[in-house]
Amino acid sequence: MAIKSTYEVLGLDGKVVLKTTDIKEARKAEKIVAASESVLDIIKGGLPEDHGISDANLISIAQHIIEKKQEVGDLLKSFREGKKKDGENEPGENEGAGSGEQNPETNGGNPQSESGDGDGDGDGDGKGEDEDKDEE
Amino acid sequence: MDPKKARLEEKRMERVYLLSDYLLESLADSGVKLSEAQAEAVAETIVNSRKETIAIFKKI
Repeated sequence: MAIKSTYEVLGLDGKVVLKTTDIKEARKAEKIVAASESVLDIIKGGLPEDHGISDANLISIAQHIIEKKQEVGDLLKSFREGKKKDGENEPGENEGAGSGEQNPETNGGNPQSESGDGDGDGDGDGKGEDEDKDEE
Repeated sequence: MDPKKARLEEKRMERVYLLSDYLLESLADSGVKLSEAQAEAVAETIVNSRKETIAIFKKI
């Protein structure tokens, strides 16, 4: 009789967020946790020292951003739509219209629930205006 | 300020405010209480790392 291994995936807070015998599911969950961790690193790296947000809340925020990646992604690209409506889209504004990648199992800290938040964001970062210059 | 830079800065700030408002609203339901300034600081960080953040989203 075959013995199935059980995989446990730990969230950013060290708690088990998924226990499964399906290695694919475990790997997906690991990817989501890793993405949450990357967002957490970005947030921690950019906040001023006196931000006053607890670690637990920072983790929740990072997980939330991953869970709501579609909405957050849309907001980060929001001006592309506005420009199109006004008929003044610039080459640099065109960030592409979607990879069309659907991943119903991605939702941040809780890989077991299915939010079905297909990405569809695409990149195609335009060749015109370089928005990285914001940061200069 | 160079008009192009000014326009980019305006756009960046608009994104910060939009994301900040969104975070405040959506996080309220998940029990994370942030002040407006804290939400704005988080939003600003994400907007400043916009490309990295979008790249992370694409990996999942």
